[in-house]
Amino acid sequence: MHNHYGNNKYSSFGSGSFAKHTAINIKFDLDLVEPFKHNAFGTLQEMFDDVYDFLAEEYKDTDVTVRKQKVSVGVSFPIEEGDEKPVELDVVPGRELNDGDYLKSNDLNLYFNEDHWGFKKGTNQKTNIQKQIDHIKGKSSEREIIRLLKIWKKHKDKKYKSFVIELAVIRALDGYSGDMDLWSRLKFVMEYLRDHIADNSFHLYDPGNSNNDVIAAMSDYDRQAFKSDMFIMLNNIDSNPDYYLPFYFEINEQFSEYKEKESGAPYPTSTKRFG
Amino acid sequence: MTSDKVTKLIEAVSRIDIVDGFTINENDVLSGKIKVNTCEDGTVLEWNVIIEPCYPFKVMGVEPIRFINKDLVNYLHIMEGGSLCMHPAEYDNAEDQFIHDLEQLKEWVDKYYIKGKKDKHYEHLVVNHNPIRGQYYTYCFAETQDEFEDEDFGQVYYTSLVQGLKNEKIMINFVVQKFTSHKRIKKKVNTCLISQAYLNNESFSGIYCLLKGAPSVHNKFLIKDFDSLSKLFTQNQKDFIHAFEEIYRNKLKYFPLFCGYRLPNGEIHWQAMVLFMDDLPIESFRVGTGRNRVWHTDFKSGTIPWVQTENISYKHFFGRGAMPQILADKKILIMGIGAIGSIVAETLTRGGAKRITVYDIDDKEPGNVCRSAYKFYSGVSEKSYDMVVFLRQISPHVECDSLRSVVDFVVKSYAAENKDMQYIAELFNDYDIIFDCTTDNQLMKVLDASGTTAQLVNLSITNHAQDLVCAFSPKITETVRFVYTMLHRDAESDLYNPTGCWNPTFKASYNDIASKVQFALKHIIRMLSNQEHICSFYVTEDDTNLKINRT
Repeated sequence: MHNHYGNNKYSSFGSGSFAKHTAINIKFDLDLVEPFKHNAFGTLQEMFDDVYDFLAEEYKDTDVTVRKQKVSVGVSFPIEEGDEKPVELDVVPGRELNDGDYLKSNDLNLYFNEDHWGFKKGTNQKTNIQKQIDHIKGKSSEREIIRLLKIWKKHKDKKYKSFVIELAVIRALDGYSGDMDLWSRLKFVMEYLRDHIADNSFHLYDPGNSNNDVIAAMSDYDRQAFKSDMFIMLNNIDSNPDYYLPFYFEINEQFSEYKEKESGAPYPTSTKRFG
Repeated sequence: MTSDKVTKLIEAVSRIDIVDGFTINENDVLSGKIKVNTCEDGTVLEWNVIIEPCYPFKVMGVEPIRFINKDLVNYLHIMEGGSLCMHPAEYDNAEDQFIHDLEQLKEWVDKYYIKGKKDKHYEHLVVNHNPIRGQYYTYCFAETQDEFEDEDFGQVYYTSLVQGLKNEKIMINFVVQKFTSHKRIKKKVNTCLISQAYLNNESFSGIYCLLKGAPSVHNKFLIKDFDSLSKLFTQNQKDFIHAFEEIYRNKLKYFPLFCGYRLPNGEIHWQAMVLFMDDLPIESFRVGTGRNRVWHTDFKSGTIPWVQTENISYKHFFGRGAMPQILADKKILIMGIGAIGSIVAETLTRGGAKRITVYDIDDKEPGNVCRSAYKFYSGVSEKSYDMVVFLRQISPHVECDSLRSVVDFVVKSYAAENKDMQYIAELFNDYDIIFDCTTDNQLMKVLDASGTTAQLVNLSITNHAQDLVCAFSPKITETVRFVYTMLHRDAESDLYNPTGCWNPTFKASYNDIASKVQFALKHIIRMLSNQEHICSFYVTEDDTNLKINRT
């Protein structure tokens, strides 16, 4: 990208979970922001399409797949020996708002390739990814809780946005003065989410664009579902923590302190489960 | 009730006076005449009153008191003989009941006679169902895929249902399949919106005519005689009856003549009569002279042999209650139709499901009947065949088929040799929702791993139907394993060993299972209709309650 676009763009930088220190596995997808100069393209769509065309051309005749995503171009590298999943690289093209102002403001316009956050295909939105990263910088206590909720989200295949979880956790723990052990903080956050996420007056603004309320982009159904998830988890953990804590927040076997790998619980045999 | 008591009670009610005193006949029936003051220009309405000896008990669905005024038959809620149609609240004793009945009479006078109020809902024409040549007939019909032209006519095709019984006489039941218009030279088929199973059955033929208006008297009662009905037919329609007779005279003993009319909401209602070939109520007459002389057909005088018709269009068939439309429209696969799966299949069908596919590798045996939705009557059969027939019998609106049992072999042998489950996903992506009631752990794992776009719902119970476990995709295997480990039920002892079968099964009655399955389905239906957040759960039971535990 650097060689191809030369002076038309500024230095790329990592965003996403790695940059924010909220990754939940040793292997994770990399998000790479590519800030373009304002005069590099006529329109944001041209920018998006050009980046896609370039990457598609670059990786043609290889096993790498390149596809258009919501705001990024996804580059998927094939599984290598010893890997569980392919390496995914999401390239997020952004364009500065006015000639030369990126270095001062870090503001970028992103192109929306499909419906997202209530915006239709072809529209764009201003954001400031640097501010988003700064927002979470130094918040190691919050990051621990964010990682736990992201582990839950991943293992239970919940579709809520990681960004919502990040902002909500930071909001919940803002001014927190309770016990600092992990469960006390997690419980406090879950109770906060249970009590606020579906509330009409609850908003979470994107630190990169204070006009963007990420809660407003969630459907009422999803907000109720999130509230209900928190309610159910809290009740179940309260009634049977030994069973439910590892069920919701599964231990990553790679980092488990138990070196001896367990054979795993057997499936219920047919005499146990009936229909 | 005695005449003295009745007289005394009437005297105490305002605006009502006695015209002819009450007397009692040899059958203990009290009768008399009263008048109700309308308070309008001194107008009074006179009513004959008949009180049955069983008063205030309502016997065989008939009210034990009647207020009759034949001159008011034009008004709403006055029946053919002039009696007021009433559905009074019930009181503990005859005196209170009588006072209330009189008040209701006054209420009718104020509302419908004085104020001329119209009801919001449409009242269908009152049809008296009489046997024709010693048998009753009922024709069920549904809305059609296309609209009818005005004054349309042609042939109606229908098929048989099983016979019933009414008033100790046979009830012959039919369901209409399609209408073929003969109004224009090119015939046009208009199929009823019912399942293919009924459309493909053997057909019989009759006639339909869309009338110029409703065949009604006072907008309430069905016309009884052919003389009054005749003017609602066009001449082409009447001539078609004769043409039909010419073709079918030796092929049919009788046929229905469907008379259609539009209801205020635009819907077409069909009222049928049954006509016998050996006594057709039609005659020919000649018009014109010389070369222009032609023969036409008209009805002979006489009473119309009306029979019963029932509108079974989806909205009427499921009018009393159905699951949300968003779910009814989904394409559903039910894998494993044992105790749980068969109850799920039956419940969804009664709830208005439109497309169900079932799958099982087993046969249904008499021993299955006691706790599943099967019937002994159909003997031994493949479960999937038996269930398809059963579901079609329940609803004329479910398109139902089955997957061949070899699917089990195909899916598992593919899964054994391939890591990429895309092929299996594609096989199941055809469905919106898959209920897995097989309790087959390997199938569960393959389905789970396939990443199919269908919403998977896995259902199973523990021995004695102590608990029911319902897991939704994704991560079904993990959830099921987790819940069963947590419940930790003793599953090895007290099982039932069927005759000649090596595989012991669980013990539980139909009621044990169905009560939990229905309770679970109540939530599953809400979840699949976006009315409740989708969440795996298990149902437990204590001495007083069933409880849903969400995970």
